[in-house]
Amino acid sequence: MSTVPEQLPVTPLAVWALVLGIASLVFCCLPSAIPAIICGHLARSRIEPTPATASGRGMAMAGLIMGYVSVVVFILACVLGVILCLTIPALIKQCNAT
Amino acid sequence: MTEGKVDVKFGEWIQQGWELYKANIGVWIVASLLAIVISIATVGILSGPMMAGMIWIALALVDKKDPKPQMGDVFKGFDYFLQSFLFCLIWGIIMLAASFLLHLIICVGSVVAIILPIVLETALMFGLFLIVDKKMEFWPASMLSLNVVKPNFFPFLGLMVVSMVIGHIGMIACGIGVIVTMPIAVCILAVAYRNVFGVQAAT
Repeated sequence: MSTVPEQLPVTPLAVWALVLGIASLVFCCLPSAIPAIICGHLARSRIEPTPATASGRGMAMAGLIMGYVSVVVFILACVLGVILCLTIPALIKQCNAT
Repeated sequence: MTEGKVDVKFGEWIQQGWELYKANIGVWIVASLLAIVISIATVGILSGPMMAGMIWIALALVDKKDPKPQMGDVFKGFDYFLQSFLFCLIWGIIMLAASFLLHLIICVGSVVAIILPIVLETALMFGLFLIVDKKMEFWPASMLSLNVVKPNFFPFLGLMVVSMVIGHIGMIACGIGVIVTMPIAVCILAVAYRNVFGVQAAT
């Protein structure tokens, strides 16, 4: 039987980044994407100087990526919404005229 | 490290994989449920690390690590986040792009588009295992997997097809059965990986 080396504690901020990141994708909401990004950056800045005492880099990075993806999706959805709002009345007007 | 001819013990590996699954069925079902739900909820972004977590559990069980792995250990896949994420992302994009281009060729293209993912999955079958076990980067791990599989392609293709059929048979039950059957495929491949690459001295 082999033994497992002692496990480093995961930084709570990294776990928060992951949870908020997942929530931001599941519920498509910006209010959880921004905290996910903040927690992710904070977790990384705390883990990187002391990699021997804390872990959770992967979770922090996952939270960051999901947070940024949610923000990008939100911005794209807003842009699409604005385009539709601008073009649909014009299209209706054109249809009515013909 | 094994490159060149490998004796693919088909039946023996499948049986050992099944025994490994049967002995830890509770851990497997919960870990698999977590992995599948999180992967789907995150539109596949976390499928790489969740798969890496499943592989970590499988290898720990094959190596008889003490203490025994628990269902929560599926989150150990996040220790390999970047490499497992890149592995799934890059190969996923390559597979999608190739399938799209092949579908443009009428008839023959469609047939090749069905075969290509199976061939590519066989070539890369040990990629994620190498990332988890040997902490390799995704590209060298992919290339090493390819080099090991290449001289023994057809036996490994058979093993991959069998484990894919077993792993996906749960799809019949409205897809929910995959939670139960997918870990069997992971166990079979973990046994195969250990037999091909041997035990890592220190992990």
